[in-house]
Amino acid sequence: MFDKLIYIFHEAVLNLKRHSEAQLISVGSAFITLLIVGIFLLVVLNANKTMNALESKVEIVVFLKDDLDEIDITSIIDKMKTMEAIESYVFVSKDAALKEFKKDKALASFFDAAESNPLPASFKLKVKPQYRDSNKLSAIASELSKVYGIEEVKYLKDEVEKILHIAQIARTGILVLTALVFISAVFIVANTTRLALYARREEIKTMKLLGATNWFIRLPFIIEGMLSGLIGGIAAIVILFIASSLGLKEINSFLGMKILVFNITIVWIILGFGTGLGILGSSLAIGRFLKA
Amino acid sequence: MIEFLHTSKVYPNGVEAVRDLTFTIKQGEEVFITGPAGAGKTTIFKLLIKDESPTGGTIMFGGASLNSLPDKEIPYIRRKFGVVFQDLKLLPDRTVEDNISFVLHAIGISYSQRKEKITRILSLFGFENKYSLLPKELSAGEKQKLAFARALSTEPEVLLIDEPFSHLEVASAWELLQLFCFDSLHKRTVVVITQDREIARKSGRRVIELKAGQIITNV
Repeated sequence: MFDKLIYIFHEAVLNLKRHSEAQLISVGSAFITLLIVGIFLLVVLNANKTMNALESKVEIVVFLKDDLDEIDITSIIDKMKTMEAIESYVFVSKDAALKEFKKDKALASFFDAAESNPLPASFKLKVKPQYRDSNKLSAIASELSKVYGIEEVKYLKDEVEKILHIAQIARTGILVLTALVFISAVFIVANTTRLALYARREEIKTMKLLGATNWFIRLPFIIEGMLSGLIGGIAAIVILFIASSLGLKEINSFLGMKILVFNITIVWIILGFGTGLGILGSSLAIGRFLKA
Repeated sequence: MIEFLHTSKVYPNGVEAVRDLTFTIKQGEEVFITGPAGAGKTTIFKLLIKDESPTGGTIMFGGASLNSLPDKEIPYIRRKFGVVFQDLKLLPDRTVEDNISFVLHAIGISYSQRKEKITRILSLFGFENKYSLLPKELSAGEKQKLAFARALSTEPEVLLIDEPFSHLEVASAWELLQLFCFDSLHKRTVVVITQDREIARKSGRRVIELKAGQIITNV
């Protein structure tokens, strides 16, 4: 077994050397494909980050009655703590609400003229991601409105629905694009590998005629494909790293926001994808020659 | 050991390569199959190593039918044959040593046994100082010797040699056959396919002569 494993890896590495020109094409195709995948990945991760940021803006505001004492407020907090959907809450006292409103100069004179503070105390609630849809938000609002001491529960229904709708469309689009990019990548690498293997079809046929099993022939080719994918992946990572190091600062300052930087997750995804791509591409390609 | 029973082969393009062939080759027999180009010799060769399947009749090997052999069993049947192909089919990117090592590895010979067998067979064929040469660096005669060495390295039950006289002078090829292939001691079955009827007749062995896909003499 160990002898076979050594043979398979030894053959794969030797084949990389023996067929260096063909390998250059395979590695090149893996590199370009993985570079595109890497750029796409950066876009997807950034888009996802933006979607999460958008969704996290979804909040429920719970306005309290004016005559509540500390015990009443504590019992409202206790109730909110028992609700699975609520991720976090912030208490905004009457004074804090007034202070916030007074920041607007037009409103400040209006509130200065008033004899007392007309603003109610409130809680601003964030809900967990899985509860961020219109029906669930409505159910949460309805449950809260029944709690003693709560005057009114509000959330921006139309805006929330719009945000969630946009996020859903964007996510579906990303999913479809990811599938397309993945299929194209496999197709490109499998075809390039097939072209490279075409030159070796006689060698493969001879191996079969000499009594080698399909797996004995197939495994070194698969490892060879895996190594090509890995090398292509490393090259793509290096280029992406250099490009992101040089370009991200300028992009960030241009956009006025910090977008996702090149990180270790992307490295692992590209390496994993490159390896998988090489294995899948070479398996598909060699399969055709072994059948022939 | 080898039986062709009313065997026929019609290729997809309609060419009928062999028709209703019936003959038996016993274990340890040394047989020449001869005939002009297009007589069906190469088809017999391909049918034996399951590179082609018959369209009619049956081929038996060691008492079992090759016709109904499942695909996954084919490599194991091929290992019983040591084959010298007409175009030699040496692995071009592998050294002399690796050409032998590959086939030994493919049939599951362990590392230590492989080393021993390689040393023995390459010494026997005079390749002591040529382990690391590629086939393209060998002369025509050396290439043929390497093909013979590879075929014999697995100690096969049947040695199948296709057109051994096409690469070498008759005397040299004959010497190779005499020295390494015909081996009455081990009772190895040897099948030599050649277009040269004179050599076959002078060999002193059994000759199966074909014409247009049929046997015309079997003596």
